[in-house]
Amino acid sequence: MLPALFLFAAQFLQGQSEDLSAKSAQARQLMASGRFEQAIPIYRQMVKAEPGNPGLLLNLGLAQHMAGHDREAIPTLESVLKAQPDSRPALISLGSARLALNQPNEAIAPLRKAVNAQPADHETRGLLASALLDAKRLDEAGVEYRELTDAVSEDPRSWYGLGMTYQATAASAFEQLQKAGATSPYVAALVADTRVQRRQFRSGFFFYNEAAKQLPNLHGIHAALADVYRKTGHSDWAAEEDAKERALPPADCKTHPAECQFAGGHDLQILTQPRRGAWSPEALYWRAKAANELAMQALFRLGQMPPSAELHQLRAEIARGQGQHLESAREWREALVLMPGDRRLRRELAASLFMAQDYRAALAEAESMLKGDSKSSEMNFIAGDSLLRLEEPERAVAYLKGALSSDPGLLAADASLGLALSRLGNHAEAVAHLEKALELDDDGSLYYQLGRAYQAMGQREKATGAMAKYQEILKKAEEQKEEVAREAQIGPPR
Amino acid sequence: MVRRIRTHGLLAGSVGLAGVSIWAAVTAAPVPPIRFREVAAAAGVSFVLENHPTERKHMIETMPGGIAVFDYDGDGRPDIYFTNGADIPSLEKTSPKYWNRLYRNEGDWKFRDVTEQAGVAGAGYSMGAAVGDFDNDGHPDLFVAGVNRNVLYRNLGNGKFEDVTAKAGMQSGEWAVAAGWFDYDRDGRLDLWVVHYAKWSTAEDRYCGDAGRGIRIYCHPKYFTGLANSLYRNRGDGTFEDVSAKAGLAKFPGRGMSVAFADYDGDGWPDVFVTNDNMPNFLFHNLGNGTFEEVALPAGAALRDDGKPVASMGAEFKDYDNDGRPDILVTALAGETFPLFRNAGKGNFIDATLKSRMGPLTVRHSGWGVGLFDFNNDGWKDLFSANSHVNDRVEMFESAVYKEANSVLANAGGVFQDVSAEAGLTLVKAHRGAAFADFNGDGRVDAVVSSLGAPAELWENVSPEARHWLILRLCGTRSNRDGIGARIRIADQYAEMTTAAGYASSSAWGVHFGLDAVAQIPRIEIRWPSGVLQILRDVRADQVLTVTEPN
Repeated sequence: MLPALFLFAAQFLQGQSEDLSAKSAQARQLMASGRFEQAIPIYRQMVKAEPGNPGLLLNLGLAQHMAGHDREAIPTLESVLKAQPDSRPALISLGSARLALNQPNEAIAPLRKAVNAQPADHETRGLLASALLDAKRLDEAGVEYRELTDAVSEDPRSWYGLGMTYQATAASAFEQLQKAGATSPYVAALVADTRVQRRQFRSGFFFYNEAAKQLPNLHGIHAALADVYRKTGHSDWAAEEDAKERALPPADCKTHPAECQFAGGHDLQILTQPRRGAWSPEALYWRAKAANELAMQALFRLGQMPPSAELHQLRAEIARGQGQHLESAREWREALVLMPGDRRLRRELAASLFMAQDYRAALAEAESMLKGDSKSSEMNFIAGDSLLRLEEPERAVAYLKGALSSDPGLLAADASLGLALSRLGNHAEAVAHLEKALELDDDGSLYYQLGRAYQAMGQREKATGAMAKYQEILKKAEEQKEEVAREAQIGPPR
Repeated sequence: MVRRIRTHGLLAGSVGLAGVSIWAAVTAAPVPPIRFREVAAAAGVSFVLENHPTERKHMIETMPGGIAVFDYDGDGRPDIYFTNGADIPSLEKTSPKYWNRLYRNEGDWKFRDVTEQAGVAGAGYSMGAAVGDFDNDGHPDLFVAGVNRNVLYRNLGNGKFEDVTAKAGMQSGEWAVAAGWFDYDRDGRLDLWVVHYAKWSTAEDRYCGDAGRGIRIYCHPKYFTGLANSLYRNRGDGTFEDVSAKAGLAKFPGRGMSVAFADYDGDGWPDVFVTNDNMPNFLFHNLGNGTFEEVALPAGAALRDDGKPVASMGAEFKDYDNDGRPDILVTALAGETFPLFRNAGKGNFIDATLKSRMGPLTVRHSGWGVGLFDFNNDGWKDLFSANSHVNDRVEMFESAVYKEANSVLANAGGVFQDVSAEAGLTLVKAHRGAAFADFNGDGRVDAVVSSLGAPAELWENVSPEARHWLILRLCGTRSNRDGIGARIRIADQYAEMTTAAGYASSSAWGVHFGLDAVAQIPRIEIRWPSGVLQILRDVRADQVLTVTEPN
């Protein structure tokens, strides 16, 4: 997209002085050869020489954006748009810069405007769809992606985006369902689906049975149980569950319309039909099922296409979902070969490396990303926490403080910073961060750290309290584990 | 450069004054070199640890490898006993390849397999070994811990052992990994602590790994229900009483992997540290009335400072920083570090993993067997660890390696430096157990290491710089014959007599001290388990000195 934008911007330079023309030619050459960083100071000089020239400003903004200096590019591009509100290159670059900075909500308006001005520009529509997806405006994202898959059906990016949109829709329906009632049998049925996808058959078996207890006539549950039995080598029990599924009466379509739509394969209809009031748990369940089905179809289509960055992204995400982070990192790297320098892919690569416990590689990737955007809370966190895990708390502190400065609500950074400061003997400062992060404590470790910090500061009473809390969490976790262990045995059909 | 403390001759005023250092003259100096040479094949040690790996990935397969070093025939030279696996699922030693093996040290780095003559081939799937003269007859006896089957061998003193398991009242039936001898009630007779891992049988068959790709791995310890430790009180008539419940152990199930003993609070009663796999470790404080109180959490030795349990495997309970108090070192997996808990006095431990540099130096290693010994005789205990990950397919899932070379970390005044490469530890294997002794009587501590499915390694310490040393062999009279639990001070160095070593292993050959430039030791203080305080004065260095407890 850049060359087109750049040519568009070049017209603003007509009629300049010889000196400026020479600089302009030099900068243009640098931009054309991808040396954006070197073009920036030249455009700066030119803008200084002609402050009111929006064309020069636009080129500076483009160079900044292309060099990865998105935070600097944004005010430059906004200045262009003040003077020329309909400048498509500025709108597109601004949206793109916002996206690169993980600010999808702010990206939508300029991108929407650019798309409206030129509806056949599929590239820009792709950016808009991506922003809508990132902003969780999933219905709108679905509309844009469906338009793209119709218009450019061989573009893997569109199918990937559509698949991700449907996945996010399913996840959103599940979240709403959980909020409505975590103990709902529909929640159990969806959890079971996920566990089985991850090959956690014992757990899947347990949750399907939980769902079947309350919803014995829910279509698909017995078939799912049969599938678990088959995959765990119990074909006789599988046959029993298959028979139960076959014996179910057909759904009453008046009282269970979504179930009927799903059974009829009208998945898109389930997602796009207008909502009347709040969704019932049952409607949310079928919405999640339909969205999952549509996601599988879109991603299957992607899988049939020649290798693409999007296909590698998909594989990376599947591997991540299965906890195979090394494999995931390999796929992100493959994707990066096809889309070199893509910041979003690099962010994901850093995250996968971190989760694979390859802290040195994660640190290197995060530090490299921070050169372009030193304020990224995510990359600062990955760099800082990696250093902490590599036993270098002295170096970790600056990054973790950087993460919190960009995102004060990033409690994981508070937790890491608390430990880093404790290790450096700065218990008083550590306590503040540990206390702030306590809501993350699901294994008692933060209370333990807090207890040790209080102890080091001579605050015995507080130390005792924190340690008691640690033990309480530990005991509770142990009890839950025992309960799950008792329940998670694959037995005969009930 | 790391600053370290070295001896520059004795300071006259310090002689005899407890707590005043003869290592007080401070100069910056490089760590004296540590060098090893692998001599197993040439020495005739051809043991291969047969763990019988299967596609079903039974947890026991990845955990054997305990070694015992002891002078079974009383010739003054430490011999080597290797525990070995068995057939799975029968858990029987169906072939001689599964036998435990005893190698007699014939001197000059020559060893001979005497397993059959000695009658110690063992039974079942063996894991750990513990040496102690439980009948005080002067001949070290041997306990072998194993999966559902333990064996107690009494040393008959004629080169043969007798299986007295049943006669002694020792029980089996649970998966024991390690054991250790100590005299918890100070009655002059050694008692036995047995460490259990978890409930397990070949019938238990959870699939762990990636079924889709057909990659099965050893399950995470969290899937195993832990077991409590056992304590057997020596009645003195060749039989033992199981006092686990009475002593307060039974209510603490863990996933135990090793045991180490020391009197951490200086109250005269030996305390017990037990590593637990992915659970908080145990520190059993001996209350002196036949019972123990588990205090690891309040004492600060249960967990590292991040509050997260690690795969604690081997342990050493020794004074690494020469402050006169025993500290605790634990081996664990890559990404976890080898936690080091410094004894700060008054019953408190402080996580010194970072401060000692143990953390940065070990965070990428997985360790099992471990020994804190002064390998360069400079007056500071260094670390030797037998390294490898627990999961033979770890490289498919994590950024860690399975087979590793062993590590040597030199102790430079309480701060460690990695000298593994210079030390010559280049063999990359699935290392497990490690035991230590001066096999050739040159005053330098050597090492023996087992590896899954591979020949054992015998590392001769060939560190080049001559420094003074002393090995004390204790002979208890009122106390137990081995003097286990005796507390010894030489200037600011502190050691306790123990045979427990690292992971599931045992080293019974005396108490070694590196003395650096000190050729004549002005004062040695030995506090025997009986309470007797014995002072030796003006002792010549560079000798193996047998010390008998005054009556």
